[in-house]
Amino acid sequence: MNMNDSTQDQAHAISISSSERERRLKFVRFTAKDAKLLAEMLDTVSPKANAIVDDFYDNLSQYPELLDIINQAGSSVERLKASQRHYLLDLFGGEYGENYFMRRLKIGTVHTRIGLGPQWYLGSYAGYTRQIIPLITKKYRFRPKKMDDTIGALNKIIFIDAQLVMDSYESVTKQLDKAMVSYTKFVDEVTGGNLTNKVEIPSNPDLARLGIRLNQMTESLAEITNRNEEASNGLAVTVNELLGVISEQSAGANQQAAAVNETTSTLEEIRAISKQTQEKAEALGEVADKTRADGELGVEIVEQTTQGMESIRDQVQDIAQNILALSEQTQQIGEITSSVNDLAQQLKMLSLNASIEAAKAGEAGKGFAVVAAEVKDLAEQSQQATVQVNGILQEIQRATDKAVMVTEEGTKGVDHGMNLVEQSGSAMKNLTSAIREASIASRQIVAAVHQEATGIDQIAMAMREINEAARRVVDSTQKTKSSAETLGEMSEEMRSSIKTFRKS
Amino acid sequence: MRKDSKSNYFDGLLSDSESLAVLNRRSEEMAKEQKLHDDSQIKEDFIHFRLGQKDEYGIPYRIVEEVISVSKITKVPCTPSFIAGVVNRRGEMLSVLDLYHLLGIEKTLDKPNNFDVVVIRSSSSLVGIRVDDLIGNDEFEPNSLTEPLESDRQDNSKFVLGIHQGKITMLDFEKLLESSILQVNKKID
Repeated sequence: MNMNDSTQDQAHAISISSSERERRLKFVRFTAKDAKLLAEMLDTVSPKANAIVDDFYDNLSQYPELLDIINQAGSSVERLKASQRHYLLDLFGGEYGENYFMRRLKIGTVHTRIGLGPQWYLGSYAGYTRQIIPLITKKYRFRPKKMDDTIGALNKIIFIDAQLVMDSYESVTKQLDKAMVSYTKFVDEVTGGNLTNKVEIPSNPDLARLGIRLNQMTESLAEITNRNEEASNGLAVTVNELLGVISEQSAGANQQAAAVNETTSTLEEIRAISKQTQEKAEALGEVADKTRADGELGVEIVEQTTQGMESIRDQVQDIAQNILALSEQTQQIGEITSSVNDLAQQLKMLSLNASIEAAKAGEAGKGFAVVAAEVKDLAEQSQQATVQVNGILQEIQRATDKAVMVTEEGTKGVDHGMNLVEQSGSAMKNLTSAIREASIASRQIVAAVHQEATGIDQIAMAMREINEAARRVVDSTQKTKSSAETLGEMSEEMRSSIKTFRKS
Repeated sequence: MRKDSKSNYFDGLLSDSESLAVLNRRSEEMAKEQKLHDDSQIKEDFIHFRLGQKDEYGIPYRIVEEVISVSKITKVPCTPSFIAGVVNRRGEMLSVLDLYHLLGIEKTLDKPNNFDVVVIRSSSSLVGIRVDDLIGNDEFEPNSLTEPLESDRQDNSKFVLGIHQGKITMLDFEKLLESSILQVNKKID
């Protein structure tokens, strides 16, 4: 049989004191003589040991549940046969002291551990006696007394064995009861929420395994409880945060709704302003069109004025040329007058000489002297006339010079005027083009303001949609808030239920 | 021009003029005495002209040959300032006098294109007088002439017959031509 250390320890635990051993041997009247008789049988039994063990297991194999127990214990029939042979021969070892008792208790303990009940164990002795008693009777067939004594010794040692087996079974049962009480108490405490205790591990390996498992289970439970607590704490925190976030979200959504309302009203104002702008731009466009027409008329007038000024300049230049011609003719008249003057001078000279000659002629020349005097008067009158003509001519000359100067001034004035008119014409053209641009710009402004109005309508529509969406957000936020509050209540319940566990 | 020939020329001219002047003076003196005896109110023609800016002069007709107008007076070198020069008078050379210095008159600066010259018949020769303006002719009464003022510029009253109508100085050309002023006896070094 498989004997591990824990089994040996267990055997020691239920060890029997030497006095108890003596008492038990005495009670069945097992003496040294019995031990000697049994030892004398060893040589006889030993050759038959294998056959006895084979017979034992042939009988055993008729009960499959027994084989199952053996298999579950991790053993096999071959290994059991070896142990069984050893066990059988140990009956005839001749030594039945403390060590023998220990070996026998251990056998019982093993049987108890693997669940092979005492009914099977004790019953098996029937098989041994059935095989061994014939060997005794055959050996001592001629010595009946020794045969009876030997059979008696065999019976005694078998009953000693049966006692020891029963002891071990009883010991195991006691251990089981004790462990049962301990485990039940432990489980009761765990059920009550105390996860801090640990069960005491008994020496019985199976019970110890169970205790270890129980302890592991409790630790796992404590760990799970810790985790649950942490999780529920975290959940509570998260729910609080969620509530805060929802509050902020709700406030933000409310602000958004208010801002959208403000924006919508602002948009209305902008639309009113843009309508005014449009009207003003249209009025500006009309004014610009009218002004442009006036400006184009002005440009035409300026062109006509330029043409008129040019004809005036031509005329003034004609006048200047005519005056110059007149001046030249006046100079010719002057020359002629000068000639006339010379002639008059000569005539005067002639008249003087005539008078001188008349004087020379004396009385006879008196009549001629009168003629000479008349001629002299004529000459002087001619001279005076030429002087007058010269004066007039000089006045004419001065007048023509002045006229020429005036015409030159006039030409310059006309040039200056033309320059001014051209400047004003270019200014008018610039003004007209500027007005044209202004007209185009005003049309563009009107178009732009139309587009702006359309855009504002679109923005207003979008703002209404945003408003609607914001309201929906507020509604859903309220729903989320109530859900989060429910969640918070649930986490609170969870936390209070976890608090019933004591973990340390 | 040689010095000897020039001196001879002037000597001849002056000697000739001197004799002519003497003759003229004598004849005029005789004529005057006659006229004065005849009629104290007799009128006489004269050539009325201007010298300088404003001074008016007169020369009686009896010594006037004619008046001419010349375009050019040719200057003669080495002559006194009262000789204006010579002019071509119908192919004959005529000496022309400038009376400005003699009469103490400011000379006109402007140079006209034509010069009026009064040709004087003195003794047997003719001499021209350059005038600035020939005003004409008029009559004067020799007995009605007023005496010239002594203070009138320099002492030239010896060439003056008298003042006609208070403004026309009647020149006494016989005296003038006889005057030693006109006698040039200067030798050129």
